[in-house]
Amino acid sequence: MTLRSISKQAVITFLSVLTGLGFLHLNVRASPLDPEKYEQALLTATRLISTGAWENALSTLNALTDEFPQSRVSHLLKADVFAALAGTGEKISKLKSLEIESLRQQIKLRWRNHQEFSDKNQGLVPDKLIKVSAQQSLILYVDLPAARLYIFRNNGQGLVSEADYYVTIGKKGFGKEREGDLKTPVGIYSISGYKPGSTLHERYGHGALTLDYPNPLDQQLERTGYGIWIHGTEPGWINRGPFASDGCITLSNNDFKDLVTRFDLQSGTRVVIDDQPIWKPFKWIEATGDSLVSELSFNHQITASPAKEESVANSVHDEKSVDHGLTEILLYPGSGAELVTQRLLLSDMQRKTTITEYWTRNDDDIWKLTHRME
Amino acid sequence: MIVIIGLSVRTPALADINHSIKSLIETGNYLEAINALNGEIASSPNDKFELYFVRARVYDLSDQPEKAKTAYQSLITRYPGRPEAYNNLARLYSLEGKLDQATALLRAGIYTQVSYRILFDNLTEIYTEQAARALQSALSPSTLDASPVLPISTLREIISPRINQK
Repeated sequence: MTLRSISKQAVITFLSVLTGLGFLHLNVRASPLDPEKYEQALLTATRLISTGAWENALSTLNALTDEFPQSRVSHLLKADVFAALAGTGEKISKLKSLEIESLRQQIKLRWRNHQEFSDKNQGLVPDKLIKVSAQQSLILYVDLPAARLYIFRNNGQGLVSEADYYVTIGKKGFGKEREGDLKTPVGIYSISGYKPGSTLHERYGHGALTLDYPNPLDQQLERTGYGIWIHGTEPGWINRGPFASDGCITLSNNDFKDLVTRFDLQSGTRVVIDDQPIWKPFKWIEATGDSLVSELSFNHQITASPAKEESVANSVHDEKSVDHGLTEILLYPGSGAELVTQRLLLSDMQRKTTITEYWTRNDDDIWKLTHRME
Repeated sequence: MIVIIGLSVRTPALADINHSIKSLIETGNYLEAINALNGEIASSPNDKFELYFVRARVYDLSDQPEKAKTAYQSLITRYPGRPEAYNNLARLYSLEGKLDQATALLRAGIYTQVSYRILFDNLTEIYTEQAARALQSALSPSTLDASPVLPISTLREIISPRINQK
């Protein structure tokens, strides 16, 4: 008897003992899954599939679909595993339908984000967030190409990423210009309110944070549309594909709940929606902030306010206000401006005024004030 | 050597079973067939695998799936190196929609004789069906709510065991 045949017999005996003991009647499903671990479990399954660990991938996916029966991406990954086991994997991977493609995109985006964030983005901050006002203890940041919403805590010494979530944006992508263009705006907005899901149509899911689109700059640029919100997901879905809303930014209901319950979001909390995110070390951010403060202070004295805003500026200056400097500097995503600043003015009547200024760089690389509003 | 496997005809094609038992089964006299088989099992001095196997199949034919399952299970315990009972028990589980159990049995069965084509085919059948169902759920998860455990009725049964090559 060869060694090989011994081991084979041993396996058979082992299996028969297990079957004899009723092993096969055991419920093989794993224990319930923590809702917050949803994405983590999806990523684990994806990694197991990529290494061909079909059995382990299946048990992770079974736990997922038990806990989240509506997780379409989990069902799709399961289909991939079964197809691979059946030897018909190619048929499934070649199967083209818009819905399947959209699910695959969602998995890819989550996977890519996971890969990049664990290596590249660790400790990095979006370059748009140069200096966040001390009034803003939290700031939301949407990385549009990565389909990701981040929440940063502004602790005075810098920004710390507290959480991030997969998000869905407009069916036609981003760069909103017109009402009904099904695009998500690019720019800097503020939360204007909170509406619980019970007061809204079911398609908003757990609830909505309303935004101030169109903001004053959008209005100057004659951008139209309304009702751009951050909200939950309609019944029947955990998440929609990356491009599925009418322009809103949507999260899974569990993620939305996490966002609004774990963090003390206020009316006025900034929401930076970025189409060209660049992540930089905090040292770079600090250095850029310092040089911008001096450049802008210099330019502010020599740049005349555009005619449109003159009345605002004059009314402020009539009271003999004292400029207390820049309280916030954000690089402005998208077109229309390159930079937005908040400036605090204190009048001799002790009236505090915050002036928002939009800047662009001219051909000589000099910052030029383009819009100024109270 | 008789190697008739998995034909759609569900009449047992038997090698060493005596003629009277064979005709009892063919005419649907399952109760008498089982009595006769019990007698043979008690008295036969030879290897009884085939007798046990036929009795398990007669339980199945006579609509006694629980008895058939127990009979196949005990065949697996007694003859862990023979694949037939794994396959047929897997088929019974697949009819109940217990696909994980069926899959585990088929995989265990394949270990016993990797050349047994029908077990591979049945395993592929289950996986393909599961892939199709998972894909369906990916497109509309609510369709699954109505009946979470769906049977598969397309697995092939081993009708006559291979003669043990010893």
